[in-house]
This record gives sequence, C-alpha cells and structure tokens, in this order.
Amino acid sequence: MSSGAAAVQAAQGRPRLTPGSPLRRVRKYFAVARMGFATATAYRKEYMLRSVFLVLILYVFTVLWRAVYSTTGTAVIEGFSLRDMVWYLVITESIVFSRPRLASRIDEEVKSGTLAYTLVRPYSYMLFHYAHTLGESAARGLMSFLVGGAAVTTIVGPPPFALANAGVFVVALWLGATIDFLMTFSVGLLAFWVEETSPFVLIHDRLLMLLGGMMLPLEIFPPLLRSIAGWLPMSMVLYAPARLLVGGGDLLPGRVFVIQAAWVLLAGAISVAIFRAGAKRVTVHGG
Amino acid sequence: MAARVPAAPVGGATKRLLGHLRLLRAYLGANLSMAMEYRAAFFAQVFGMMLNNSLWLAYWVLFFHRFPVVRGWEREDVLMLWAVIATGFGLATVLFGAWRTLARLIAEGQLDYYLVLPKSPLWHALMTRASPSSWGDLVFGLAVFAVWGAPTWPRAALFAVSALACGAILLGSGIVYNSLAFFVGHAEALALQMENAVIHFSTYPGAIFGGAARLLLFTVVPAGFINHLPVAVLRHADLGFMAFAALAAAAWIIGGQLLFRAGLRRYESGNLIGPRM
Repeated sequence: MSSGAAAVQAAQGRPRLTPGSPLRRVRKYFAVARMGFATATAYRKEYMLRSVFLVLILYVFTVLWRAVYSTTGTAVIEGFSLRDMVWYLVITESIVFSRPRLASRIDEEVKSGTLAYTLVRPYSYMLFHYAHTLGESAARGLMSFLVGGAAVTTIVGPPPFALANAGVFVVALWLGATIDFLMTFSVGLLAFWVEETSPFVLIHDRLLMLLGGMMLPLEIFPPLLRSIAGWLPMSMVLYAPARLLVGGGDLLPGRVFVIQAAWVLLAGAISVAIFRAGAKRVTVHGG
Repeated sequence: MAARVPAAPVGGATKRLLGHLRLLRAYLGANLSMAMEYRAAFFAQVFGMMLNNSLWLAYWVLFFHRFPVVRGWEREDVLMLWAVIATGFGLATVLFGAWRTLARLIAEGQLDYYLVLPKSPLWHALMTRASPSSWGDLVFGLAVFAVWGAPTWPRAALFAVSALACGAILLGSGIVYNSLAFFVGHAEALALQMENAVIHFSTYPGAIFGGAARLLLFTVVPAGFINHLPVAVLRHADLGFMAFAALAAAAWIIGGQLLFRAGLRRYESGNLIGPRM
C-alpha cells in the first residue's frame, strides 16, 4: 500500500494496516475463522444427518437418567433435577459434536507433506488452524445446540438456566475450546514421529468424554476422583462451561477462568514446542 | 451393465459352504499378514481400541458405583454386555470387515470383480477387508468375560452363543442397511447412521427402554436382542430368549442376503479399471 493511499485511509478514520500490524493480523485470522464457519454451514445436509445421531444419544441419556431418578426415588441428585441433568448433557454433547476432526487433518497434512507448503505462507500454521477450528466449532456447536435443545424441550421441557449465566458461559466455552484445540493439535502433530495417530486420537477423545464429564457431571464421581478431575484440562473443556450455564453448583467463574488460563499457557507452550521440534523434521524435495 | 445373478446349483450346499470357509480362512490369513506389514501401527490400533473400550467400562463402573442398581441391572450385567458386544462386533469385523463399506462398493459399482468369480459375491466382498482395531475389540471382549464373567464351561457356552448371535445381528442388519444402496443410490451415510444406532442402543441396559422404543429395538434397529442378552442369558440362563435371539440373528442374515440378491438385479457397473493387490 502506498503512503498516499494510507494517508487517504487514515483521513477517512480507518486504522492503518501495515503488513505486520497487530490489527491486520487479527483481521486475517478473523477472516480464517469466518471461512471455518462458512465451511461448516456449507455442509448443512450432512450435518443434519449427524444431528439425528445427537438426538438419538440425547434420547438414550434421557431414558437412562429417567430410570435412575425413578429407581432412586429422588427428584434431585447432587443438585441436578432430571431437567438440569438432561440440559447439562445437551451442552456437553453439543460441545463434543462441535469438534472438527482436527487431529486427523493435521496428521494428514504432516504425512502428505502439505504442511511443507503451508509453512511458507504468510500466516502462522498454528493460528490458522486455531481460527479455522474456532469458526467451524461455532457453527457446528450452534446447530447441535439448536437441534438437541429442540429435541429435549419436547421431552423434559425448556432450558432451566438463567440468561445471566450466558456471559460467563461464553468466556468459559472459548477458553475451553482453546485448551481443546491445543491438546488436539498436539495429538495430530505426533504424526511427525509415529505411523498411526488414530489410537492417540481415540484415547484423547475417550479421556475427554470420561474425565471431562461429558456423560456424567463431576458431582457423580467418587470424591477423590472428582477433586482430581476438577483440576484437569478435560473438565475445563466440557464440565466447567456446562455447569456454569446450568448453574446451581458451587463452581466459581473466577476460579474456572484462572484454571483455564493456566492450562491455555501450559498446553500452548507444549504445542509450540512439539510443533517446532516436528517442523525441524520437515524436508522439502522440490515438487 | 445390468448384472445377471448366477443361479445357485441345486445340491452340494455343504461343499459350497466348505469352499466359502476355506476362502474365509485364506482371506483371514492374508488380511492379518497385510496388517502385520505395518506391525507397530497394527499393535497401536489393537491396544488403542482395547484402551478405548476400557474407558467406556470405566464410565459404567463410575455410574454403578453411584447408582448400584438401575431397573434391575447391576455393574456385572453391563460388564457382560460389553464383553458380548465387543466379542460379537470384533468377530464380525475381523471375518467380514467390508460390511461397513458395502454401500460405497455398491454405489460406486465396484462389485464387478466378485460377480465373475464362483463364490457368493456378497460373502466374498465382505471377506476382503478386516479392520486391525477389530482385533482389539475381540481380545477385549474375551478378556472381560475371562476376568469378570465367572467363566465355567456352561457359562462359556452361553457367552459364545450370545456373542455369535450379537455378531450375526450386527452383521445381518449392516448388510440390510448397506444393501439399500442398490435402491436409493448413495446410502453410505444412512447405513452408517443406522449401524451406529444399533451399536449405540446395544451398549445400554435393555431394561431402560419401554413403549415404542422397545418395539423399535426389536424390529428396525435390532439392538433389543443384544442388550437383553446379559441379564436374560448370562444371569438367568434363559434358553428361550437365547433361542429367540439366535432366530433373530438368522433372520437378519437371511434377510440381508435376500435383499442383497434382489438388489443385485438392479446393480450397474462403474466400469472401473484398476489393479487389485
């Protein structure tokens, strides 16, 4: 951009966007996130078919928990009524359904060598995937929540949570999604060293499911496991945002944000270290 | 090209069956050798699947730790349910691994190779693939029964029949769903959803489902036959239910075969030319 054009732009009140300016970088990744959002919404039909499975899962959970409440003969278990429990599951399942197949994507890029081409492009490989994943997750999560929410409303009634919880929920959801991205990205990067990353992806997903509280809120766990799981990154991805939105627990938003921020820093440092170590192994043979 | 379905010769059923079993043994060996070519990846997938299943069991252990009895089901019943499903699914997928991709083969017109050979196109096509992770399911299922199933010879026999019935129901229903591709074109997504529904419903205690859901689980989505097996057969040794489940398994397999044969009359080749290695 010529200095003259920049001056005209500045005169029009728009910020000056030099190639390296932070605002320009942020806009670049916002564009990538919009691209991820558009990609997810472009395959609406495929997604709606996936949503049938989400409805099925929620139906099974509803009958399971209905059986639990009727067997125990209580209306509230660990602070959850049946309606709270089912809506908690709608949120955790929506988060899980919103996750794109990031690890497999990274694995494929490493193995096919596509990564070598993207490394020389004018963006950070890691931030590109972060922005794209967030955009894609936002679209898929929203669709899942709407479909799942509509289904369970007909069974247990409308959501029990207050709109006032939405603010802390969104922050916790974003920080949780960042932790999840960093962990999944690291798992995908293992392709630099191992032939097959799918077992690691599977184990990571199952740990998220179990220790993250996807199907059982942490309150149901035995006390020792509950206190350990409460500090782990998995529960910060699923349990914490869902519990904050449903409300009624003893979870403090400030404490959650501090733990999440700590995990973002730690997982971020690990991901960057793995990426740098892996990038050293990239060899370009022309093409 | 519209396919002609070869008429089965009268008699010699035993000979044909033995011929197919020999072919199955040969494919089993070939698939295993192929998987062992990438030994580290093979074992990683096997152990990965075993760990994956273990984490599912951990969920149920936690659940029953907090709620010891749900509609008459206890922790041991769910452990046996997982033992039966993992063994049945593992067996079906190790022996006939292509059943989960059959709809794609049909939609893309890739059955030509099997049509010109003297074996059944359906069973031949199904034998050609085995997912390495299925070995993990198989070993896991047997290990869970060995550790928590209080194995005795009579219980082992009941377990074996339950696992075989489960595998046959999963396989038979899978063939039915995938054969829909003959009639509606690209039915891969639909078949996958239906297969996942059967597997998903099968892994939950049968007693929690009632009313219309129960009817559905004994018809279109035949998970009811599987998720009642542990309590009915392994706990109460209910031979009546076992016979019922075995009949259902046979009906799904025969139904799948008939639908595939009917669909084959509508099959059109993709005229695909490619090497087979």
